[in-house]
Amino acid sequence: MFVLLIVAFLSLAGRCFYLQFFKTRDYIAACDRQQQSLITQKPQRGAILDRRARVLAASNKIQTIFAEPRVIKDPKETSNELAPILDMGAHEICKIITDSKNPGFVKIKVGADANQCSRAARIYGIGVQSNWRRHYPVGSLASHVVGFTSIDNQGLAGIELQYDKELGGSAGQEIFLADASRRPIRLKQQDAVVTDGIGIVLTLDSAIQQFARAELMKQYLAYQAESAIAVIADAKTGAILAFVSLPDFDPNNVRSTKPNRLLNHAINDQYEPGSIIKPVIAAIAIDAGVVNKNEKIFCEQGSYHGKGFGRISEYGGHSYGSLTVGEILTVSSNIGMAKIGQKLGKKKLYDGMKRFGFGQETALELQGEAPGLLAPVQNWTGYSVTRIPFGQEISVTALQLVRAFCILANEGRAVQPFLVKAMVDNDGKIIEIKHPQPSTGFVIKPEVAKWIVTDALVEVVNNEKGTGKKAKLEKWQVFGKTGTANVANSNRRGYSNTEFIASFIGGAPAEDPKVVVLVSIRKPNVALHKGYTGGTVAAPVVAGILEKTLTYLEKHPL
Amino acid sequence: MYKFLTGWLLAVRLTLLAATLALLLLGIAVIYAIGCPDSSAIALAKAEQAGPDDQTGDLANLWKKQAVFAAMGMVGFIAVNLVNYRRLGVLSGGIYAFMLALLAVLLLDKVVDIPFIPVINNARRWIKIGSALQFQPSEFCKPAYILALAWYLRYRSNYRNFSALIGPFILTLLPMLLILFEPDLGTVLLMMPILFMMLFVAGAKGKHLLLIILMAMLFSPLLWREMKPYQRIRISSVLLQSDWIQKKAEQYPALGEILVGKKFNAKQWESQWGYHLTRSKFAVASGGLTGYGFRQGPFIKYDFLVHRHNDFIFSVIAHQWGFLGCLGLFGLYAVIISCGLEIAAHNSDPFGKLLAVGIVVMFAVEVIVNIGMAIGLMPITGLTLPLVSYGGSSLLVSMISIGLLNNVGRCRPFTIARKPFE
Repeated sequence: MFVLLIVAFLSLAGRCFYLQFFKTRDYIAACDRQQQSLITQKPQRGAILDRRARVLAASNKIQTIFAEPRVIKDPKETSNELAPILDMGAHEICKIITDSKNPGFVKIKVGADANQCSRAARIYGIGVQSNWRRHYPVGSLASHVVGFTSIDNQGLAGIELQYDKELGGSAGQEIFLADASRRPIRLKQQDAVVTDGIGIVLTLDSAIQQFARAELMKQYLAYQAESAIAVIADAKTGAILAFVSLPDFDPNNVRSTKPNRLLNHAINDQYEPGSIIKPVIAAIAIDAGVVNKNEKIFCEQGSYHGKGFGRISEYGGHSYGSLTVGEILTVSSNIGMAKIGQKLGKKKLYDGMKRFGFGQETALELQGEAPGLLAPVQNWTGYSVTRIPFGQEISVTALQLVRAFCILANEGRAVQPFLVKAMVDNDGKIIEIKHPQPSTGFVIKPEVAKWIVTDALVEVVNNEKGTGKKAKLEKWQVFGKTGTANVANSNRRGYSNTEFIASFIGGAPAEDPKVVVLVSIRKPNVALHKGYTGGTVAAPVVAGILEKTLTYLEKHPL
Repeated sequence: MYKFLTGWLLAVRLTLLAATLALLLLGIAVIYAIGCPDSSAIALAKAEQAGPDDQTGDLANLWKKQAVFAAMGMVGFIAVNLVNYRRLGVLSGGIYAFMLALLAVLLLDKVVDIPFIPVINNARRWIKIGSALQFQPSEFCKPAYILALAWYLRYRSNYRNFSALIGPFILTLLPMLLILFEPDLGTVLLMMPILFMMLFVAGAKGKHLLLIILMAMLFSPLLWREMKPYQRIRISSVLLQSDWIQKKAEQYPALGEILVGKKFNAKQWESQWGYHLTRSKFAVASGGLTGYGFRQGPFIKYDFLVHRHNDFIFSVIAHQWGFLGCLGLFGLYAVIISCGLEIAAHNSDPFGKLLAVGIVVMFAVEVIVNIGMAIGLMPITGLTLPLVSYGGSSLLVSMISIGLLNNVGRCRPFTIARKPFE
């Protein structure tokens, strides 16, 4: 018996010695780990504002009252205490607590106010959890620009994605000493202080955005189109004032949205622009000096063919004789443009298009922008030089077109479209003004650009024969160009006869353009027999947008 | 000199008393240390949340209560020395029956609600009369049982035959079963070693005892099957400290099932099942060779370890005074145990001898199991560290037991010549 006792005591002592002598370091280290409790403080995500500081996206604090079922001894009593505070039924709360599968956490009320929180938190086993919830007060109005976030406040699209880092801020991290029930006792070290996200001020004006979306939506529904876009830019600076892509979605409720609604057609789509490109080509040609403004070009009476470039005919079976460059644009003659292209030659045409920015991204602050397609000159066939001038064999994006027309409207100065005006901190103090470098270089000579806008493109709208006369306004002189592009067949060679992209790009007032507006409606339903051309479908939308926007800008200058 | 000191073996008994007092003071000091301002403020805040039932709230004042308990213990010590222990033997049957009745009353609460029996942690271990008087019958049952068993075993015929062993076993099983249903596993586990040791010392045949142990081992899988998962975890946690066994238990669900009664989950082990054990080992190991010093160290200042004032008080001692402190503590207990054995060896009266042995075994097992659980050598049970852990019943019973030892030691042995022990 004595032996047994001695053995027992020796083994106890041995174990103690083992733990206290050999394992001390290991256990102290492990101990430190366990006694720490990392508390992460989530930052408030920055707001997204329009140019007049209207809120497009903001994060609000949501207080959630929760219960910890495992520490609640009598759910009934707790429920009775909690019920009058939260204005809920006691049986309801009791059921939530007793039915909880998670012994450590069950939500009782999401979105409680401060008074409820402070009172509820006093009850044993009840706690309050704060979370940030993203809210989009204007709903789908600017959904494609603003984008949306995931449930854990990660930007997933639009500006939310592009500026996720800035908007997100940085979380605070504090290491607390925690006791046996993992309650923090005191601060041990602070690794990071919570920094709220930076707010982003957009160039967008939600009023103009609203005009554009309403006008576009009307036409989009009336023509049962597949998709439609409208982009409005400040002609002088390239600041985007409105940016609509239909169909769109409600960023407050993304999860129940069909995925096709999430596509931003204004930057994701690249397409053959059709006639809408003609003024740019004409400007390049005149600028290069290969054509004179008053020079007459013979338009072959509606059928032009030759070796190496096939046969070209006019749209709608028209036939024209000799036309000036201006007249070619007014009636939108394909043959006239083909001849101008031939006069320019491959090299000059290609270089001119490059200078206008085709074939490369506009570098707008949104992700997923398509670069368009301008084939390198050595890949061009005989067809290319006659087809590109009226908008085939080239793919562009809506933004590239807007940029090109801004250059024209801005007397040939280079323009960089942009969407973010400034970054502000939580108190509204400006941290950084985002502004592209003011353009110094000229893309084309000012007088050429001026003539294209105030003369040729005004005629498109004003002339009785002009394709864009539906864009005419009483009060302002509108300039613009229509485009009716055939959609290329996806499975066969050639173009579809029933699928079109009806576009109009223009601006006003012609003498001193303030805004440039592009409207493109993809695949209006031909079976409705209401028309499908840019002049019929898109021009009235541009007119409507321009009228409202210019009226608005008179009272609220940019 | 007080009367209770008169008699034989004075030196041995004085040593015993000195070691006992030292342990008492040590216990009060450690409980005082735990109640240092930092930790007691936290405990108070917690207690406010938990409500008035939580007695751990008043950590700062626990040491005063423990001092009162110690004084009561001294009174108990003196009280059992007022009469000759042989006179107590005559009463042992009555005391034993009274204790059984108290235990039965505790169980009765399961059927009808008795007002003075509170249910704490799903167990009915206390009888509470008013707010001041509260005691644990199972604690008092221990000396009563030893007394009764020793009284019964004083006749040779009561243990020499195999069939005669049924008597002592019934004597053991009655309180054991009653306590088992409280439930208080620790006290139950304590009774078996006492029985065997006392039978052995009394002179029961070794082969009979071995046979019984073998039979028990055969039945143990059955018992294991009947155990609840939490009880299994407590026992298997001794094995589960090893990462290797943990990995195997996760790999083979069958092994996990045997060990913990459900799917083994290493994460859950860390956060729940092995939580006390791991924390306790932290406290012990971080003490190192010399410890943090009196009232120093994170486990003193913060509530990292629950029950550190009673069940896990050893961890706090090891934390404060390190390995050397542990050796000192072992030494004090060794002194008590050897004094007890010395007293037992000196007494030729079978009743006195058995009584002393029973008490020594009770002490030794309590110490070994309690310290063993704090360092991961034994399953975690509610056994206290005698004389040191906070708790009135435990302290009083320990002091009464020491008092009985003293009482036995005082009496003049019948034969002058010393019999060889065992």
